[in-house]
Amino acid sequence: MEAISVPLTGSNPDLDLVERHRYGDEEAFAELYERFAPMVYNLALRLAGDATYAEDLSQEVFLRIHRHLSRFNGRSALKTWVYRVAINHCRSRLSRRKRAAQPLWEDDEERGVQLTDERRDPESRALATDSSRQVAAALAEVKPKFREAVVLRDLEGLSYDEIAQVLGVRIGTVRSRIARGRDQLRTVLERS
Amino acid sequence: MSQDTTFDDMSTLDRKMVERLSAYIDGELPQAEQDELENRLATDEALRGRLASMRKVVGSLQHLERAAPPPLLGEQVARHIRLDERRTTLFDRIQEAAPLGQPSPLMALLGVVLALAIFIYMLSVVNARRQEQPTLPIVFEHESMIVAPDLDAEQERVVELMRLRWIDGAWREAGLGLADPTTVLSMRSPEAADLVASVPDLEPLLTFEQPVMIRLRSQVVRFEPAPPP
Repeated sequence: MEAISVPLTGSNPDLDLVERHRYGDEEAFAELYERFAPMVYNLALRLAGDATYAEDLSQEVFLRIHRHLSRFNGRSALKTWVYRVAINHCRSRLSRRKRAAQPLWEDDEERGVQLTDERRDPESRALATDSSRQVAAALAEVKPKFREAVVLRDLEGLSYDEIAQVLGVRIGTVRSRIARGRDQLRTVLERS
Repeated sequence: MSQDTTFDDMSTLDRKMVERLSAYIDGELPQAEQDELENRLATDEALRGRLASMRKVVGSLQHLERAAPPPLLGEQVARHIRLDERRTTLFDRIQEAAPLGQPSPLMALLGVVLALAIFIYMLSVVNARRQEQPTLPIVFEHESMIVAPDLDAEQERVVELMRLRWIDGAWREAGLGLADPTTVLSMRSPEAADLVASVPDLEPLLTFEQPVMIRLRSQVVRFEPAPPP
């Protein structure tokens, strides 16, 4: 069988990955999954506030990515594009969701969520877990559009410019949403 | 600015200040604004308090532990992709975009009833339209009157000047209302003879055995047929 030659840029790994996917290289999507799965899952988890639902959302997001990856044109970073797909999908699904989100902080362990920081001693881990649950609970009370901005900034570490690209808004709006989200979070944390 | 005030309760000026504090923490504040803010922070204790509480919030978020994706997520994604590649019907795509759930027997029954109701309604409309058609079909005027029992497309195309329909026992010009004021003319009368003589195209009316109604010079005229010889 004749080998298919994939025209790679060599200088843009994102576009090369997409090009390999376009030419049917299944390894390309596997690489993309490995690279972005933690990011997509955590984003879904923080937006949905529910581990089981976050798992479903992550599956759907990767399905969408698989379907539309060929359309990625390299005008933004692949990471930004993946975040945009994930945010849009979560937003659409969560707005349709009838039942209230089951907060993650109530039963992380029962739901089998594995928190990754294994280096701490049991006592400080227990304290950290308590604090994490409290923060996660408070985050779930922040308005969705502010929560999205805060999660992208403080949990995912995106710059204002990247957040503006992901959310499709101006930088001024990003700045305002992050400030409002943090302020809402502060109010909720102080109340609890 | 009080530390307890929420964003929604603040003045526009204070909101801008909170936005600046937030951007300052992120290092996203332009240099000029940053200098101005630092000058103010040096003298405004409440603002320093606000900055400290916001830093604390940001710190608590940044220390939120990240969860590892479930171990089986990758396999589940791969399985969904394989299924998706097999899935080609439009219904599947719609179902995925807006899940309809499992169809219940009640919903299926309602669907059948609805389809039946639409079918019966369409049938009644078609029947009603058929009954409107004259038993003898349409009479046209072209160069001379043509009785067209078997109307076809060609006749439809060439015949345009006048169109009569058999409605309620009389040939009527299509579109002529029954309530239109009507002048009745007997074919035997001198007026009818004059009229027919002035409009040669009307001559075939003389051969009609049924009443004919037409609009002629803005007047609706009913021609009564001449009695059989």
